[in-house]
Amino acid sequence: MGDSNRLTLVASDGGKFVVDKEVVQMSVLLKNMIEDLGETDESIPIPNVTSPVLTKVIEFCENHRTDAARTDGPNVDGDDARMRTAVVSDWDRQFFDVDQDLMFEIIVAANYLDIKSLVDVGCKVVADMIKGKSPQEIRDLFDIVNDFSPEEEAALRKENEWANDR
Amino acid sequence: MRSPAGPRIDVSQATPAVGLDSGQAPVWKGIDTLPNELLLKIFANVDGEAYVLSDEFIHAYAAQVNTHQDDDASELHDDVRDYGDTRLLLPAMATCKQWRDLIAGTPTLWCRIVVYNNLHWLETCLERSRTLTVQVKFRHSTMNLSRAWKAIQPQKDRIAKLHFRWFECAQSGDLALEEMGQLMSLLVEVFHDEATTHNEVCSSLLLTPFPRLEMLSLYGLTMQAPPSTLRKLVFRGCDGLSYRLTDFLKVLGACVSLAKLDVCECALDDIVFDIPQGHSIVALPRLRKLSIVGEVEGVSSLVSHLELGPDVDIWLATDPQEDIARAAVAALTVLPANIQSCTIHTLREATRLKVDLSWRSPTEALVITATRGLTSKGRITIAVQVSEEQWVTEEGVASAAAMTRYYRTALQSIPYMFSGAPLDTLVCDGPLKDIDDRTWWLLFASFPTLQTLVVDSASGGGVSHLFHALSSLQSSQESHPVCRHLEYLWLRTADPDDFEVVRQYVGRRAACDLPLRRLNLELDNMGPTARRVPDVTALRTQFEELVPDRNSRLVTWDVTNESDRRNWKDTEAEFPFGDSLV
Repeated sequence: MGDSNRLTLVASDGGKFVVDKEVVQMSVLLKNMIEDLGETDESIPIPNVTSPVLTKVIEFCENHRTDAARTDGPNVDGDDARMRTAVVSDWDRQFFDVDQDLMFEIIVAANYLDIKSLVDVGCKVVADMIKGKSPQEIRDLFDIVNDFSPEEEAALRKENEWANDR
Repeated sequence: MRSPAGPRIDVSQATPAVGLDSGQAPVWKGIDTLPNELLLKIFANVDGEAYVLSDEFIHAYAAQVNTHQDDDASELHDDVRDYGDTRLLLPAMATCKQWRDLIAGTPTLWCRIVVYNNLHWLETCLERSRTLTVQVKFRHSTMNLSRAWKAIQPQKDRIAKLHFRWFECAQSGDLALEEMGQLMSLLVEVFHDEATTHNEVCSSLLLTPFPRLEMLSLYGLTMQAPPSTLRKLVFRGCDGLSYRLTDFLKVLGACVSLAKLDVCECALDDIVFDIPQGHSIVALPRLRKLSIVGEVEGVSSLVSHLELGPDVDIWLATDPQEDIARAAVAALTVLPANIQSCTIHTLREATRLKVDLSWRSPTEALVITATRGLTSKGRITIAVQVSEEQWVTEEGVASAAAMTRYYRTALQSIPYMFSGAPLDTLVCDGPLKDIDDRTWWLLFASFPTLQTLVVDSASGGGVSHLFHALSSLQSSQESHPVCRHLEYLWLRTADPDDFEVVRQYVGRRAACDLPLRRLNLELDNMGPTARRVPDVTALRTQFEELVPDRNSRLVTWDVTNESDRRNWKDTEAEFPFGDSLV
């Protein structure tokens, strides 16, 4: 019988990660699975998440394990938890200082694993990248194709005129 | 003709990101891996003002959110969200069809509506927000108030927050708002042109049509008949209008649910104090926070008319002082004339007190804070402000001589202000060397229960007067020195010469069988004159033996050293009086 406080996660590419149960319980999905499984030595497969992404997810959970304890109390509702993550800390910004593909994979994995704080921080980081940029700058940043017709662009310009009414 | 709301899109039918143009391989990856629900979360975070959400702001905000109680955190969060403006999403909306359809088709993204002059924008937002509750803010608009009201009137029953900011007084007569069943927050700012003749119509806002109103902020208007639901009132002034105190107290008396009252600077200038202090007392049984800033006599008078519960967190601040003599006594005179019978409970019950001349906030020269234990419940903070111009030049009311006078007068006033309070902790941050023996002695002798004394000399060293006072007897009839219960002494920004004074004092106490239990002495090179930190290695062993169990520290801080700068902590870290209180 192994350490009952730890378990093994298996990434989609076969990579194995031995982690504290307490840490991965920031994931609602994993928390529920652990409760369903009870005491077991079985590994938990994470079929939609690759090793590099799972490494980052675990790193985030490790760093935020005390947050989980703080926002998990009986008097803390969802709104309060949202407020406490309303801003992005320096550590979180550093955490997301990775290439774009990995950044979006982390956010998708967090969404799949149901790790709310990681999803929130990821979305705020992406939002900060968008803020203050022109449409063309956003397209260039994320490699997005402009698929508007000239008429549609004219309609958007009109709406911008209404908005910029100072 | 095209609808001002633009295309109506069902979000569920928004085109998936990949394969926007069939027949082509996806030309972008990365962000296209995100499902719509995550894109929407991102867009919901884009609508905050970039300049407001600067790193500096974020850190300050995070610190507050992490230390405030839930109610306060909620309010802070709401304040931040107040800066939200859907127009910040327009660049993202003009990026590609998928993003346009997703943003335009999501009502929750259109609920925070900021209007300047173009009502098409208001109509667009109201239509796209569909049936959701919205907040509408008219900011610095040049449009007519009645036109603004007419635009929102059809949707008035789904408006929860309404701001009319900076409208002309001449138009305010048109502000006859009809009943708004969902309105919870109302802000009205009206400015008064000098040429305008004020009358009852422009100067008063009838509040009866808002049965759910919880938050009201008024500038340039008086008010009538506030609903009993009002929890927060921010009174920002009348700007030239005359408001009798009797009427103001009647309004407050009707606010039986009021939890926060914020009377901002200049608001008191327009109140006519037509009744003597202490008459017509108004009970505010649910009040938790009270903030009054204004002319000294006005603050003093208004507080004297309020019956405050023991747990109210009180902030009283003077208007910028122009006269040194008045500023010196302002910390005392800002309190009600009859301190002993006023309802500021902490004046008689404080256990912790801080007298601070090194406050970080601009123009607040002297700040006195008292608490009952480590809680903000019942805290009182008194701030004396000085002229900003002189603060910058450090002249006149902000000169070093003036500051010393404020500090000395504050120390002399405290025994009277907090008469009988069972103080156990006193933190003094100011020019120690300029305070005479008698001032110190009166202060210490007035609080015989003192156990902890923290002194931080803003100008460095000069503690001989302080220790002379501490070594004096409590009275001629008693054989023990003042502060007989003193256990912990922390002296900051000391000079090497102070060491001998400290050593003698500690020795005398030990001889009287009143040994200190803990002692900290810190030497540094802070202060106005650059100097070197002395080498105290030879003194360290001797110093460690001054109190039992070697419970003493002799520490040096060199501010030119990066590591020292990083590790140095303000006394607030060990003795909190500010936001880190529970």
